[in-house]
Amino acid sequence: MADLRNIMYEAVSDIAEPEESVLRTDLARGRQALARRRSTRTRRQFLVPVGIAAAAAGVLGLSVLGNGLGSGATPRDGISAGRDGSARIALISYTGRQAEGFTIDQVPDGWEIQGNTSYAVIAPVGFADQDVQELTGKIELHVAGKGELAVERAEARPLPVGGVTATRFTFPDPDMTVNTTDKPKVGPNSSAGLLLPAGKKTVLIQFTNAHDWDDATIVKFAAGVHLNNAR
Amino acid sequence: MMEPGRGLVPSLGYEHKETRMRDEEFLAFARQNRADLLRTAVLLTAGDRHLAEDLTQTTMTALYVKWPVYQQARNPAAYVHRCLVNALIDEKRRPWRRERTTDEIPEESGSLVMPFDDSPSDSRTEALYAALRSLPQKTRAVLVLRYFHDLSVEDTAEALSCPRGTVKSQAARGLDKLRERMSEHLASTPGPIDVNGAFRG
Repeated sequence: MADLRNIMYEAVSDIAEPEESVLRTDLARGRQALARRRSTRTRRQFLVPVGIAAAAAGVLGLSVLGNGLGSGATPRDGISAGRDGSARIALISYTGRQAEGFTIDQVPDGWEIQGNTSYAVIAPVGFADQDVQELTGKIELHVAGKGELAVERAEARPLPVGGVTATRFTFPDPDMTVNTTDKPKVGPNSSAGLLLPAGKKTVLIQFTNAHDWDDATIVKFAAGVHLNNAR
Repeated sequence: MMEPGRGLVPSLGYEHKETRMRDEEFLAFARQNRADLLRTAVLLTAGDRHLAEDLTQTTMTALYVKWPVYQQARNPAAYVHRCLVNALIDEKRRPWRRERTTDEIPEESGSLVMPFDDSPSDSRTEALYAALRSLPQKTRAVLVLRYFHDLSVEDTAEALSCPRGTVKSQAARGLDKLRERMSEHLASTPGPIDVNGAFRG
């Protein structure tokens, strides 16, 4: 005697296990959705403060002009809007708690080192996301593994930092990187990266993609990164 | 993010341990569960394979995006089913998908066994889909989760975010309705009818 369960199984018995390509497509779709979600969140987190700062600067500027004085606005929270609308970073000396294994001399104004991990995560003070596993809108540094040193980098070029030659490159856009065989593709969600020699090791730095990290700022930041016990 | 000294797959572009782990775990989950998810979706959509594939893709995407939530769910299986049912409900809310559903679920008849024919497999499947189509979405979901997945009343309730009492009543009424509609469909279909056949939910 057939029961409902058997009839249901019978109805869908022809559905076979999916091929690997189907699973990879699911993965790609998921990664794209996650990247879109993070990108939207990041824009909200940064554009609102920049917008408020810009509005405040506008009010201040009007006030100053009204008094017959005319000086430029000082960047707030280490971020100011560049000509192209991207946010620029102002670095200041850092005196707060350091991450295990690193000493970092300078951070963007108003930023701090999060958590106490074997890698360094730098984020704005009071940043909503305190999870050190979540890196959106944060700078992250760690000692590069062999695979990371061997991997092909997009837009790689030498960049002198202090007495060493680092490699400036661009991380792939997660929206555009799908399969393991893909070449790294640069896109709107790419972020700046730096491979910084430190003794026999190399520090890998991933910068935020919401800011305008020009070479001078990267060099200034990287020159203040010290790997403890770098031998 | 990679831990110091740890390698990664060259040219994959993964720089975050979290991303790499999420991908690996997601793929392992997909290998193990995707086919079952699609089967469930086919039943939930009363045999609409295209819509079922859409729902499965939507569910897989939602799961990837909310992977930490899935992992921390008290009942991960219920969470997956809830995602799938939510995808179905969302899809049905779209104007071009809006379908004329069903009449009201009748009062519980009390009878658990209905006459059933021993028709060929294709006819049975067709009758099943026709009967499922005639049921409200939630009732359909209760039947699929309770009887296809063999979930308990509690787990079904959790997956559908509804009280246990609702699951019990919808299961009983839905089962009666399903039997009735399947019998009607099979009776109207040419072919041998074995009135001794029956199914027990």
